[in-house]
Amino acid sequence: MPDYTHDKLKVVGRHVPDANGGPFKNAQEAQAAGHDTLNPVTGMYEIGVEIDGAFVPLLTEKASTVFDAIELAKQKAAEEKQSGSDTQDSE
Amino acid sequence: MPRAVVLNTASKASTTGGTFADTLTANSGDTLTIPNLQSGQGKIVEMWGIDSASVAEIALTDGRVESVHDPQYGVRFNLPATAGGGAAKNYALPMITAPNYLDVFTGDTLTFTVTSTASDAVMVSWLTEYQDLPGVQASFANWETIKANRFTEIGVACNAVASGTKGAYGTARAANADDTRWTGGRWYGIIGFTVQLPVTTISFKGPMWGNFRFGMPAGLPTVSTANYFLDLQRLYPNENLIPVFNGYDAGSVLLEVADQAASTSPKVDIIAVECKNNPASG
Repeated sequence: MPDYTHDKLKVVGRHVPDANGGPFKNAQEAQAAGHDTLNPVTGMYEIGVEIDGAFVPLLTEKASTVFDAIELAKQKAAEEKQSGSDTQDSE
Repeated sequence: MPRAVVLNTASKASTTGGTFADTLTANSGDTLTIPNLQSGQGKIVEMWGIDSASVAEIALTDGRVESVHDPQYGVRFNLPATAGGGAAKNYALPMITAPNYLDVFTGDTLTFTVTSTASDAVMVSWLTEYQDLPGVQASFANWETIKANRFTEIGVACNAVASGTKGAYGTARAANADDTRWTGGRWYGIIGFTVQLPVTTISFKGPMWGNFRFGMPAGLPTVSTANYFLDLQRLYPNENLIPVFNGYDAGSVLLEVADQAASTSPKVDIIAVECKNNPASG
């Protein structure tokens, strides 16, 4: 038997935005912080496990990459759903 | 002999996908066209690129067989998959590296066509050296003249951020916006910089470099960025490739970041040697 001390770890994810990453009230405020959008997706997305209440990161990605992928997946799902209903209508 | 070393970037924020189905366009302020040169010839000394999510292949062509072999695919470059450490990660993958180079000629236009997956962002940056670019006398030095004039060393923070549009340059940020310790009247040779978070490209721009960009990759495998300009100059011993500016002009030295991810904040610390006299020889 493996000597695991924890065998039911929960995989969790969290967004850790930049400290001065907005959202911003106006373009001047955004520009002062170096951004060219009012609501940028900043910082990192951490995927890890929770061990006795402690978060232990396994993988860190740029947050905008993760949220872009989520948005793309949502779009594809919506397209497939639409495509499915179109097929049903034509039958 | 007005000399210049110029950074350009071309990108596409969301590709259509397919076999060489997309063409990159020059970023704002950049160009794919080789300018009028007295010698008629320049050379691309460094080139790097990234795909935001998948493997990709880039074909670089222009109109001249002395530059790239043919106008069909010219020089093809692969950008590898995530599995080996590539697409979608913090990379700036080498395409042309010193001492190799690519000759370019006046009037030519570079074309980057891309095989990629739909909705990916693809970007390529490159440094071109012009021995004789009319109207420019860019301020660059070599390591020997920097050493001969060296007074002290400084690291200065500049929090330039990438654009909300993938592949595009973000808002320009002055070299003294976040740290004002540059001294007027002293000369600074920028040896390189360090970052907290890797990004694809960091650009410097200012009147002392003819308002053309100069810059470098700041993503894997180019993570050793602290000596980048010094190392590049050593690979071309007869060239001056270390950018120099006067402390009075720190507000005119503008940093910009371009990355395969949106709104990345690399937090740049510029590493510079402070000189009492101007080490640049044009």
